[in-house]
Amino acid sequence: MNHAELESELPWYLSATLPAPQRERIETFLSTCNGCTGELAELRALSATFAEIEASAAAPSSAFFEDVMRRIGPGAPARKPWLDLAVLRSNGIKRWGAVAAAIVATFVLFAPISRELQRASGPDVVPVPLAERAAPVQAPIAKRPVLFGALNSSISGTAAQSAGTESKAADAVSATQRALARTGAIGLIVPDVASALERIQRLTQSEFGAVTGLEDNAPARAGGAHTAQVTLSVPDDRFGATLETLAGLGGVTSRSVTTEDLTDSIVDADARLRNLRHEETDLLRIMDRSGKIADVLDVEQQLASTREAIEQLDAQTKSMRRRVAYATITVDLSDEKTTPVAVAGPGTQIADAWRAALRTLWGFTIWLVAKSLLLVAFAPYVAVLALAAYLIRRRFLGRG
Amino acid sequence: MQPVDDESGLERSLLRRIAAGDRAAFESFFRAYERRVYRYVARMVSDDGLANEAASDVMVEVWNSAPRYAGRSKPSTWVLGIAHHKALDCLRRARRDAALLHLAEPPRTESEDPERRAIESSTRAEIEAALETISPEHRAVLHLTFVLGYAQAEIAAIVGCPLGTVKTRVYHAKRALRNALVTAGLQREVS
Repeated sequence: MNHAELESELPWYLSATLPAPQRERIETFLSTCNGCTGELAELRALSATFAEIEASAAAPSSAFFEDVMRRIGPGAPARKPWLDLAVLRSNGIKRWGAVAAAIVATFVLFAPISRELQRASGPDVVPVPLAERAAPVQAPIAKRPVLFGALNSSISGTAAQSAGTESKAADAVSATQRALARTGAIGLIVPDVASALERIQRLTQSEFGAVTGLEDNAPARAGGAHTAQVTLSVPDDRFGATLETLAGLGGVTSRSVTTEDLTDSIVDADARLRNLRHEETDLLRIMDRSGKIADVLDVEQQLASTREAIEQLDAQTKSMRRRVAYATITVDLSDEKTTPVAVAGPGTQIADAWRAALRTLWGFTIWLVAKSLLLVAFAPYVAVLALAAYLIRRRFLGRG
Repeated sequence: MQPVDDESGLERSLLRRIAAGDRAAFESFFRAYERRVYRYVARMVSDDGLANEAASDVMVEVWNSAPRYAGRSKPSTWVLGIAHHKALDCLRRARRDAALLHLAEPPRTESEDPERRAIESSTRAEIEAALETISPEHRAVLHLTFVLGYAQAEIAAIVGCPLGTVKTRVYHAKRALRNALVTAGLQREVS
């Protein structure tokens, strides 16, 4: 990295929107380049001044909303002509794309007209089939999946947005859709686990999700059953449909759905994040005004801890939103048939019988030794009992 | 797996409801964006009357175009993209001087230290005045970078140009601002 490259990246280093490796490279280079440090100080001053200007900037007039509502009139959105360049450009469609679409549309429109003209001008022209002439000319509409069905977040406001607007945004979260993280589990008995796994893979792809975990347990010995556990991540709005499709793959042995409401956590995290970002801006402003090195170091320390807190909270919020956007489904598969037992040949059977006999002999020997040792251990008691029996017998037999 | 854009889920659902003609959803969306949109177009057109007109055009366009929102970009990027082009359209309609829409002159090769000092030592009023003298495109990228804090890719989507052009444009915008401040300083010294 050289000075020119760094200079072009500094504005985004300042706004903390660069990826971590790039940020680290810049930090390394900054410590060695006085010119860049000066440039950074200038950008901080510029950023602080912009923040001041914006804080005191004029707000839209109170009639703004009424004016817009009057212009849109009653009813649903008016479907404006498809070719609106402002909207096309904001949708990311390049100008050449619009031009190419216009050329194609011209060809499509003029082809039937041209054929009609040719037919009218000569008797030997092949007539155009009615169906072809009647085919409507329609602009192709790209099929795009709705990936973020129930993805919820608070409306991010500007620094000076009114408290009323923020509370409306929070209300909107609770009133419209809750931020729910859903988890499902389904147990299935299927005719063939391997083909079921393939179908689940295809289903996941078609639902714009991903297989996030797979544990395939092929039977280790004859008579065992093939089982597998698959974990899927699918867009939340496809959760129900995916679960239904999975249920159709085989016999359902179990099914469960759990839901965790993350609305409050997300709204709370958003508010804390906003406050931290305001705090960061304030600290930057204070740092620009601080004269003493000790003060600057102190503010820098506070700034570092604020940024760390921002990164942590940001990661937490992103993780929660990911859980809301994508539901998790765990599928337990069991094969309905077990692995057939192989029939062994005569040699194998004799060998097995010999091995079984040896195993039995060895077991009997061990048992015998164990019992003998038991007798040895109890020998003193046996000896006392035997002596007592002998003495009693001799006394009574002697008298008789 | 498609990347999850998790900053803007509610705005997306609001846009879907707006597409179905839900006026309450439109009001929520409007309240969330009115100031951001107004300040952005006001910064570009530098005229209160034109800013009101352009901001109003943007919001009407949001209502009308919500059914066509393709979801390729974040709602905020989409709205500010409309705002950017509406502001330019508004400037063209107002038949402003064509030079107003041109980008600033190429960077000068002389030492930049006096220019750098120009920004650091300038007051807020001076910077505000200098902003008025640079092109709307330059004002737009400075606003998106330093006020709204957007990443390079988002700015590229909003203004409709490649990523490299964003960096170059911000670089030239800074130089143009410095030049304007230096020129204003010299004029003050002469008078």
